Amino acid sequence: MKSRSHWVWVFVGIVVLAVLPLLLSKFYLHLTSTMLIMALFAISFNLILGYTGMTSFGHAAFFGMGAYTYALLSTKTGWSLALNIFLAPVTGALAALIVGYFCIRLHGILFAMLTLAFSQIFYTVIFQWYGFTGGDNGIVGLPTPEILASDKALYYFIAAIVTAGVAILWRLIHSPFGYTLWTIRENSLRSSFIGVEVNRHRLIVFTITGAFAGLAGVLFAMLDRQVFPSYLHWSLSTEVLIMSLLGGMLTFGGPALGAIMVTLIRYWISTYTLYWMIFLSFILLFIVLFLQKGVVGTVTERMKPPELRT
Amino acid sequence: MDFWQFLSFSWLPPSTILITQLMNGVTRSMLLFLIASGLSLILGVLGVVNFAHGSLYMVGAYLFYSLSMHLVHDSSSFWVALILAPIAMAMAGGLIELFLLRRVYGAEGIMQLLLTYALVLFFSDFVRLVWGPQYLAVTRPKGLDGAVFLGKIIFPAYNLFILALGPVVALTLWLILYRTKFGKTARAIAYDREMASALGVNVPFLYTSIFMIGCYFAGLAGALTAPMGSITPIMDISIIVESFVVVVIGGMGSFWGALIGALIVGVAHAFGILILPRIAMVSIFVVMAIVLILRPWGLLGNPLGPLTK
Repeated sequence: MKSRSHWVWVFVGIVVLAVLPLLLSKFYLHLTSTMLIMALFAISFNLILGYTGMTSFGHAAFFGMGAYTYALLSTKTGWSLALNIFLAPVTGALAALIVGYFCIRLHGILFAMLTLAFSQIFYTVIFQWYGFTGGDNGIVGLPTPEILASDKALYYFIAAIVTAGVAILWRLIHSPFGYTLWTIRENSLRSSFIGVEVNRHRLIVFTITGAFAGLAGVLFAMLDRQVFPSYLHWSLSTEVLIMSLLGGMLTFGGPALGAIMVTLIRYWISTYTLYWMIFLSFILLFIVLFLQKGVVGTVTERMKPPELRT
Repeated sequence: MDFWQFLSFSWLPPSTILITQLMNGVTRSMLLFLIASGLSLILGVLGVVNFAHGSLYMVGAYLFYSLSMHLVHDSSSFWVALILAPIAMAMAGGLIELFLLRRVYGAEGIMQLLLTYALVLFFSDFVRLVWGPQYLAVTRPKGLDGAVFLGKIIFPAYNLFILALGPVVALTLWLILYRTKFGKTARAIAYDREMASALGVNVPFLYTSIFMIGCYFAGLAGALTAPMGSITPIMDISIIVESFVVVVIGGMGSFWGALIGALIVGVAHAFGILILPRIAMVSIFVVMAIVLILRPWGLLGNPLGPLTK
């Protein structure tokens, strides 16, 4: 019964994604694509935040590495589109593997600080290396493959990749590996007592999220046809953190809702005022003071019978 | 440049420049220490990573600008503002602790982090709204606006003032923490919170006052920085990141660690700019990454402290 209702929702979601381009203007289609990409980024990020209990402050680095890999390959080599897209998450995963190797031994604030330090190193290298990455000018005017030249084609491409990515993440979380991560989050000491290799799992999941961050990065680079060092900046790292928390980090779909909300709020508010950060700060304060489980977490909690609430 | 040329150090700039740069670096270290020691103190006693510390520093600088340039119009304005601006920031810190932070002590650590991050966002737009996006400058007070000749070296008098003031402030903070009952109870809380409160320490009062002291020093650093360069709405982020590096290198919650960390970061930055300007920005992160990998608890931190678990 439950699994059937899940499939209904999946079906509805896919139909909505398929129909949207017929209803939306070019601008809103672009906004929807941005939301989808950020949703993928946030859901994958939540694999370490919500499911494993690691607070990374440097995930924008892997997002940016993916975007830059694609941008550099597509402007400097004649390699095929498929290869360029494929190599972006590979770079993201490699970078995450190296960073993760050093970081996973630390916990809590120290883990967050070390991921921040590494991401700032990546950021500074990209920002300063004018000869190779264009420095703060970024790389603009990325060539668009003919097959994705129209806005609708690009949208469908992004939507398909995001859907596939989310499906993979869903499978991953509901696999023995996913349940092991949950165990580590609940109590890493006890899970090591029952024979779980905690650090290896932490490294693997960190690398996986790096790959997905890279994938989100390449999609974003394709959508906007440009890349900038700000893609690696720690403000993006905190933004994805906010998305996960706003939606609810203990739920699968929460981060996606958070990503949609943050993207929409930023767009709406920034059309009225330059000072959109002040509104973001009020939203954050609201989460922290009244909505610590996030939107989805709070709603699902309310739907439970009273005796099951925590 | 061949190997022997490299060994002869002839590639280095002349020694007068090196000494000037060293003094600039130490000046910067003094300001960094003011901020980082407050950050470290709050972290040690309250267990809260105060992201908003850099923002309080920034607002302190802006407030100092308004007080010294507009409120009073005589030669004493600098000194009046130097006293008032940090006190105002301590008050702001007290309000933040009482009405916001206090409500999330029981929650997961990430909630406290998010709350202070929300304050970062708030203040960053707040100063743009109140003082505008343009860069502001404050004139130096009479007597400190000139240059001082120390042998061959020419050095701004204002920097010398900070070089002299830094150790005085550090000593005051040390006396408060290590030679008063207040400081002793604060350190007791940092060491074992539950035991301290079981023994009758008024924990909520100490939390508020420690947070206010930290914010006072952030405001003081902001006020002291204001006449050295321009006041910008983005000065919060760079300083908070650097202060974190200082705290991580020195050891979280350690007073002397904050001083050593500040000296390392300040001097490394000054020479980094001189020798390899392009990588000066990244060098402090490399140092921090190395320290975190080899000694996660920092140079003088407690390896068994609550933060390394």
